[in-house]
Amino acid sequence: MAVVTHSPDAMSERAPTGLESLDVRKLGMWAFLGSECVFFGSLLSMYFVNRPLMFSPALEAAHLTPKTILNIPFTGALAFILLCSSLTMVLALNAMQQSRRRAGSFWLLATAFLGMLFLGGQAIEFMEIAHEGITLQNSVFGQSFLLLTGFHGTHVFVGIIWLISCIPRALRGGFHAGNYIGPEICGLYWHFVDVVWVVIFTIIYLI
Amino acid sequence: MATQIAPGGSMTQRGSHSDIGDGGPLGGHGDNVEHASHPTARFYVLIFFILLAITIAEVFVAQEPFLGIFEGIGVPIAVPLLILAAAKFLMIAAFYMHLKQDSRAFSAFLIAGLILAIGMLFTFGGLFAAHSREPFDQIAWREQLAQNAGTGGASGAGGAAATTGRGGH
Repeated sequence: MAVVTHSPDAMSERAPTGLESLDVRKLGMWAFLGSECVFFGSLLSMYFVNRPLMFSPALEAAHLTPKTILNIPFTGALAFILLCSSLTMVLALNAMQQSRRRAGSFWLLATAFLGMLFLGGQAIEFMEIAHEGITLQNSVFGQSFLLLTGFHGTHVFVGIIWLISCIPRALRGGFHAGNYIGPEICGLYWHFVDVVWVVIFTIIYLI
Repeated sequence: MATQIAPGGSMTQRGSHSDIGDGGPLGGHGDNVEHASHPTARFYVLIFFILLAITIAEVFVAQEPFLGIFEGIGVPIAVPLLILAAAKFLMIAAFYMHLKQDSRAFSAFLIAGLILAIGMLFTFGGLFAAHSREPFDQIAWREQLAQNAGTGGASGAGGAAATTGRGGH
């Protein structure tokens, strides 16, 4: 698709389409995010298909429906934490675009910390659900919910590893106004993870 | 040197600043660098507070008394919640993921993925909803038709139902 060429002769032979100067790494990340939309769409489809089975009279009587099990205030706090991490991520990129090494590293570290805080909260929620006797094997709600949020948590974990791997290079001044594609792509991934949680929080917890 | 495409299609080049002095975490004094196509840190903080307000609104809308208000006017609670979620989605994609400033090629990938995901949602929802209904009982349906038609229709339909019952499976 995008062909990067430095030859003046080649440039004069073809009319520019505008796509030549797109960064293929960024384009690749966006293609990946498009595929991730389909992936999480399939998990949400699974949840929706199984949803009627989660509200049977027997489960309502036993207070084992999603409405009674899920803790909305606690999960709202987790949504706030992930939103803060999105802010710190974009501030990190903003700092690196201005070649502010220390500020960029600080905000990257803050993003990773908030991500770990979010994962800790998810772990607490999973333990509370397990305490109610709901697992992957014995409950339709357990299977659908835990698969969906578990995969999202895995994505958050991968994002944290990526952020931590960027910090040493950021501290050494490897990211600056002339080169910030690394944190930019990492930021795209991290914001997408936040966007997925926005959708999950609304559809699973609130509706 | 990394280059970026401005929305108009012209290429803009970032300054080659080797000065890495910090102007504080939010860079209030680092604005002497030319960043015409990049929002400031203050703008990102403003977007954050708008997203926070929408999140708080979502949590309140899903609880009483707002829940009762929407149910009272006949609006399913999913409608306002999905609108708020969509607003958050668009704001994060446009401003934090810089889709508003970047090439439309990037937006195309996201939109394509979203179309496929939403299409899958509706497809599987419709597919499994159809299969979750009781199997159609043709014999009972014909008997009901016969009863509705009266005695004359009942004998003819009963014979047809018997024939169908034998050959139906």
